Amino acid sequence: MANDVETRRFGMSCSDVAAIDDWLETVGARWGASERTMFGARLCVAELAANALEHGISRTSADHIVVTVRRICGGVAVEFLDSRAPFDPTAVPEPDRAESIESADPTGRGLTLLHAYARNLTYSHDGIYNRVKLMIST
Amino acid sequence: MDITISDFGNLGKKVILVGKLDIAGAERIDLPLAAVAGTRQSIVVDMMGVDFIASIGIRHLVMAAKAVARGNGKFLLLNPTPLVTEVLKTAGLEQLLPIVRSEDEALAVLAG
Repeated sequence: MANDVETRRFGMSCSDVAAIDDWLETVGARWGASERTMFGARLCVAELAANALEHGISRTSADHIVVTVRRICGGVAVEFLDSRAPFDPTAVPEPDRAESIESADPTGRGLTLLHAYARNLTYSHDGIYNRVKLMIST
Repeated sequence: MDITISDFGNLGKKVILVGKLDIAGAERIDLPLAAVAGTRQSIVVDMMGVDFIASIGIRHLVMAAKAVARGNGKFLLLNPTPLVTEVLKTAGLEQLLPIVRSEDEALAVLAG
């Protein structure tokens, strides 16, 4: 599995977030990874990227995202870096579940999905990047 | 993401979505879905062709469902794939965005 690590840097825009997903699909197809595993990886990365794009506080015009995916025994490991202001997605409490569509908040489900799909979810900030690591099990 | 809107008999509207309901897909459906939801007629969203969904796509479905509910209409999701269904259930939407598995079932729910 010597070549089963891929890293790519992206900008911080809607089209960049879409490009990340296209890239992950391509990587998954090249690896022959299971659809379910790559779906989980794509979902977690999409939520992290959308969170950084929509809510992350910009610190420079060169804000960017770096995604690394690694095929490991039993799944896929993901490292997601973004250069926006420090934000720990593992520390956000789960929102309450609405009992009716009338009372439902349209937003706030991204981190719920991240926590549900990711295993071994960790966060750190190294002075430059928000660094989120997670695993998707097969 | 492609969106097609048509009548669903005389019971409401049918919205067919095809592609990824990610950040880019959500941007594409934003205005047309909001416009059809604004009529407050019942809506059946054909999800069979949606191969990926993220929370930003869910957000647009919930906003549309809330608009339809304000007019006492119903908002149904028709036949999402197993992976998309799992995301919707994980997000806690099983009761809020009911899923039907056929057009006949949708007709029965809307007529009921």
